[in-house]
Amino acid sequence: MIPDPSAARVAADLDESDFVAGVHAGHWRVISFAFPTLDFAVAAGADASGRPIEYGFHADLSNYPGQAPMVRIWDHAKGGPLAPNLRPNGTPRIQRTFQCWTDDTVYRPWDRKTGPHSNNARTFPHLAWWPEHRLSFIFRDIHDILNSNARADRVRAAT
Amino acid sequence: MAEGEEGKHEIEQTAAKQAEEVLLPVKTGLTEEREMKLERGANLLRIVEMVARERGVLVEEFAIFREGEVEELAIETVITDVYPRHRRHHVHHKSLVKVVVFYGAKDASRELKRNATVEQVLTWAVAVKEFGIDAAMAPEFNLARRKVKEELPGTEHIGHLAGPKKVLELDLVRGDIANG
Repeated sequence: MIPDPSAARVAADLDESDFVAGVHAGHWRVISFAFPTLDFAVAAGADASGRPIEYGFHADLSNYPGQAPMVRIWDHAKGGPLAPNLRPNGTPRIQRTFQCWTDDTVYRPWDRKTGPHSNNARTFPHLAWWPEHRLSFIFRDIHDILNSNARADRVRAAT
Repeated sequence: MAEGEEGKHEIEQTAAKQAEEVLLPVKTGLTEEREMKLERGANLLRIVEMVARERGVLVEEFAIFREGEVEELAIETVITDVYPRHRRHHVHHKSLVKVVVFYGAKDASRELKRNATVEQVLTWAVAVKEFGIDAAMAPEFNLARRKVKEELPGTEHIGHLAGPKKVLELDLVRGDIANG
């Protein structure tokens, strides 16, 4: 049987040094992978009592990397999109990224649905999906946004 | 030894040799990363020696760090069975980097060790009094190379961004928010 090149590329990306480094640093973890579906979680700091927080995501990687990934913030326990009141909240950038909208995918220009919506991919070409990107590109973007919330506390503590 | 037995012996020897070797992921530049092979029981000095030899400089000029850790690793640290060898390692020159951050018409600078991350620089930059940024808005900001649009990942080391240079110029920018 001829192996699916998209599946092979995803497997390679999950083994790529940047991705693996993020796993070992505790930034993200793969929950399950059965092509074209990838379920994963991204660390988002800790709550007031110091307990680690993470958010689940569900990605469709059909025809990857020629077609952009489609990623939704996910409740893996319930098997569906995360309820609006449980999504990350904070500054406008965080709210926009995890907002509920028509296609309800992660609202970043690299996403399959968000890219063409409101000209996002054209307006932000450096954040748009290109086949040369690896999965670590979107994992790192999600991780940076989720962890930006903690920056306000660090800034206040430093001043 | 019969032919089949010879092949099996070679496989067993290769497996035995591989069991004596350890692979450590090591990043030495922005796009330079590889797995370095060490004998089990060797110490981190071997990695620094390899990098120093490649660069034609003294071993004493380099420091080695593990991803996510602030303190420099002791080069005498031995790679044992319990050593976290899957964690990415970074080799940096020991010299400091002067980071200059521009925001609007103002700028601020600070000297930092090369294993400082973009996130650490960002946390400092948004707190610079002269920039007048409210702490509550800190999550909205990012850093990019001077006059370049692409925002830098928070975990990147400034040493890899600076390369051999001793000055790194960055712009403090509002993070891109996709059109709603």
